[in-house]
Amino acid sequence: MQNNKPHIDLKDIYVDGVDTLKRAQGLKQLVFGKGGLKGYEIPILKGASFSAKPGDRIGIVGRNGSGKSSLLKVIAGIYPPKSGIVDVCGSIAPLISMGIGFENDFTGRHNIKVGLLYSNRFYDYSIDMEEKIIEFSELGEKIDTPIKGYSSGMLARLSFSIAVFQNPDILLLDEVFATGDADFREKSIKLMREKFSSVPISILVTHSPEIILEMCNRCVWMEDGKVKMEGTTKNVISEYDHNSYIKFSALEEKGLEYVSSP
Amino acid sequence: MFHHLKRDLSVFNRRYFESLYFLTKTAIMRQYRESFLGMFWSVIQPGIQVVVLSLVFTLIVRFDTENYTLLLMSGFLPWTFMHNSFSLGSNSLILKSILIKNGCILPKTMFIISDTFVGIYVMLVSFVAMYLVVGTFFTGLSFYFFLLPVVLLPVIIFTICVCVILAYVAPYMKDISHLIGIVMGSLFWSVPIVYPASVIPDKYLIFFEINPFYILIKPIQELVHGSTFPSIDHLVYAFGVAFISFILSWIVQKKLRRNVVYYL
Repeated sequence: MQNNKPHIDLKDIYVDGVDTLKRAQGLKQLVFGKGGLKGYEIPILKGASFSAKPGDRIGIVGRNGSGKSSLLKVIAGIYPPKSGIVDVCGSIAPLISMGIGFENDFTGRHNIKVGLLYSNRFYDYSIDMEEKIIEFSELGEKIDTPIKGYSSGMLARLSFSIAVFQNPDILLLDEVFATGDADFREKSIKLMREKFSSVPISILVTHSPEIILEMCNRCVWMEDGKVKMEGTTKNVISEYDHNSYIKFSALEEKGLEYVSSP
Repeated sequence: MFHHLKRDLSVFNRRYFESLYFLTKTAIMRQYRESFLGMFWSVIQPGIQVVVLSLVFTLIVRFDTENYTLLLMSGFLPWTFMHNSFSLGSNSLILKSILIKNGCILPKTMFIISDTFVGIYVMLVSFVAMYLVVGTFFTGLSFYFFLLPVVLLPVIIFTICVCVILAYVAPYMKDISHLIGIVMGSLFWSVPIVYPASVIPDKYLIFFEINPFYILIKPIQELVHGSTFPSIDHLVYAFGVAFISFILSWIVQKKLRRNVVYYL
């Protein structure tokens, strides 16, 4: 597609990882015959195809190791495919592993800039945004203490807060609701729902079908590096996890919101 | 092909440099935060080496050269910078493997450049510190010193480019950091740093003249030790070496950057 609206179009993507243990790590192994220079390939994606247009809020489900995160990484440009066509247009905010790369000896405030830097959005920084992030994270005065003193919950709150105030064309979320206490999760989900309506394309990887049922309009079920099924959320989830689907439908009929618990 | 180069170079826009500046600043602060004397440790170490070598080569093994310490310093500091940068820079991507594989979409080359910039900063501080000490107490200060950034530029460009090459090759061949130590340790003696060029026998002179490290260091020696503006020829050759290294680094990163993530 040649137009400039945000879109994602992946066709027949094959991605191979390299088994760096088997591959010769250096001269010693090469000389003494414990492996060649060529990589030993581990197939990660085997012909996955995926597309998204503005207005899509897509949930991706599947077992561990089915290639969900890898698909996000292909979209983000982190994993170049061995073969297949990648056509991605729009600014991307990948929230894949939160809190990595944070500088332990620096304050939370400094790490806000670090977090923005790593998603290549350092130029978006403003004092205003920093204040909003600090407020949302509810860290208060702790923001000016080194993050090596933070609990894992606090780290999760900070990571999420940094991530959530970015305004990309394409938002990629990988298991972002898994951490944090119940109140914060509820707040995050609420904010994410609002965000989903303003971001053109959102893609959410999660193990929790309830979240997808609440927030997404399309769903993709991945298995073994391929797309097993895709379609509307209700159709796919009712195949993938029928019990959750029944529970959700029941609550929906009563007009109740399903506030997910882990 | 030059169209490709032009397009690749366009990535160095203002946003790129703002991000690079912050990344470098954080790296420098991170390294020196904890230690008591901070940055000074990185200056004191080559400083002590210069002092010891000066004592040996002015009191015991004598060369017929004035201001030996300035001669030594003018070659030793850039060399230390290059050696340290190659050792650290080659691990630049490997050490950040988790970051790169898990959602960091910052250009990989930026990490390598920022790691080298930390070394540049330390080298500049060392030069100023040592020059002030030697100049005040021994030889007097020369105003030509202010041209130092010009003669250091080829060394800096060369180091950044070689670090880029090393950092992209290292994930494919993790032995490389050991090789660097051996190669640099041996090459050290192939450049007239500890000894003046005048002691080299004429029949061997050509081998020294074509050594790229000597080509890079010679203008610095002319400026700091000779207290004169370096000869234009030598400066041009130095920039020539830097330019070749730039082209090589562009080729290497173009070929290897795409799939390096799988080898981290």
